[in-house]
Amino acid sequence: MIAQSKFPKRVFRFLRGPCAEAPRWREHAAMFDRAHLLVQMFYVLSLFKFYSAARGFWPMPPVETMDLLWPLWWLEYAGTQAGAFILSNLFIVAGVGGIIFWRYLPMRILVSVALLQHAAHSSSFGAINHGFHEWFWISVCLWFLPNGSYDTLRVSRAARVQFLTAIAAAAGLILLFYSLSGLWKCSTAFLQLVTGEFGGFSPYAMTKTVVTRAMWTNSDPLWGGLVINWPLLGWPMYVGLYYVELVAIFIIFRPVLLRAWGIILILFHIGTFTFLDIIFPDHVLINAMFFFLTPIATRNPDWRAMAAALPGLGIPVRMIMGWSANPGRAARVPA
Amino acid sequence: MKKYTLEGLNFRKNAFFLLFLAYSLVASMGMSFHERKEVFPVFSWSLFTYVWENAWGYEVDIVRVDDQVFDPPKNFYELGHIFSFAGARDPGIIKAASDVVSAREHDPDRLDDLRAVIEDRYLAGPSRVDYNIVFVVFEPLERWHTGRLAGKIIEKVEMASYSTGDRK
Repeated sequence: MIAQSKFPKRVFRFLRGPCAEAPRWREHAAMFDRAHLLVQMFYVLSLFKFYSAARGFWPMPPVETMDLLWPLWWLEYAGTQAGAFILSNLFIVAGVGGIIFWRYLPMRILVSVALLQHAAHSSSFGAINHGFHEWFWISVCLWFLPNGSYDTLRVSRAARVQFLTAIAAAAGLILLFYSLSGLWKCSTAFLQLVTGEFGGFSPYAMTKTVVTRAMWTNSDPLWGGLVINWPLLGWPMYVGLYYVELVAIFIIFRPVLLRAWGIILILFHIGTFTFLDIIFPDHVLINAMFFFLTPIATRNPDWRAMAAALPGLGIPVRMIMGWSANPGRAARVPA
Repeated sequence: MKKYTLEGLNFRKNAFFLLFLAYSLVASMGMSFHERKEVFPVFSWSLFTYVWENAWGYEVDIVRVDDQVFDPPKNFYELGHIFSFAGARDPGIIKAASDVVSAREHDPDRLDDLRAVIEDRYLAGPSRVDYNIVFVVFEPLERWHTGRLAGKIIEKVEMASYSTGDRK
């Protein structure tokens, strides 16, 4: 039984590293209030997405011209006219129902179903659009919110922590995505480095990536000229990005770094726009909501504590400078 | 009976732990074995993973649009004034072209559907478009400095040649 196993606890302890401090129980009420607002924001923004997309189904191209993904298998039987009608109405019901009835699990599941349909539709034209994946998976994490009214949940200590756990899990899943991305990049670059090939750790790696992308789509990235003309400028940025992505999953267990990582990841997506001409608007929004505005982050952390809590890099900081990764109660600003 | 309990909290912790684990496994498997490199919607997030000395991949060269013949053929993205997706610098046609080449070899039943995605979406507009799907290898900086899309290419192999036929 996992519940009785020490395995997850050991994994969590490893990921938490030097950040042993947990918020006091009395802080949970204020954290719950902010988490509650965050969830409401999520469903309001889902409504915005549904509303924006609902009209886009008209006219829907013939099914034969689409490369349908499995969630849309039913379109082959329903046809495009009926399909567009069903999808538009599903979006209206899920969007409006989501902001009113999100406290009920069936409604949260319905929102996820609609988001999955949305993601599948936008990805059924030959290329998968990954902008919607995170939104869908966050909605899945929110299935695990405890059901109940605001007043019922707020007076129960267990309910508050259950609520916060679901919020933390959503943020953790997003960080897992970044870590997976970093893992593939770093492992490939490491193998290339070992075999003496050109790879992700090479000084010109960012320049070649930027130029290749610009050429594939004949684009002129806003800041592309910087690394094309001065390729070595891109080296620290690229290696830094590898680090930020690879260790991202550790950050969910180190609340002192959560808000900083939110900003860093937003800057990363600003970089994908300015250097690669690729935008990730959903990801920027999600990073702002679930990291920068998250209730589980340490508020106003000490910068030395942040440096000491850095995965890997924090070890020499703690050893040489003697700084602690735990900011201490005094550094917290009571909500 | 209490509605909210610590057992409920443990259930959630374990559920999330399993979700993370399962996601990582399915994403890795999908990346390795699935033809789309993804068991939708479980994506591996392998983006810009490979950085090579020379870049390689598929491109779509336009040979003819209505009565206008391009000799040599022009890259799809040079014709933004004809194709809206080229003007919007939408990368979708590159993946669609890769899918077409893959289907030709491994899944001929899907070929017509995948061609339709290219022809009715990315090449929509003109009544007739002739195009080639080519595989190119190039050194990025060299190609960039010698003329971008029209710049120096190390290797170019024509993988498929199609025509939409007269659509009007």
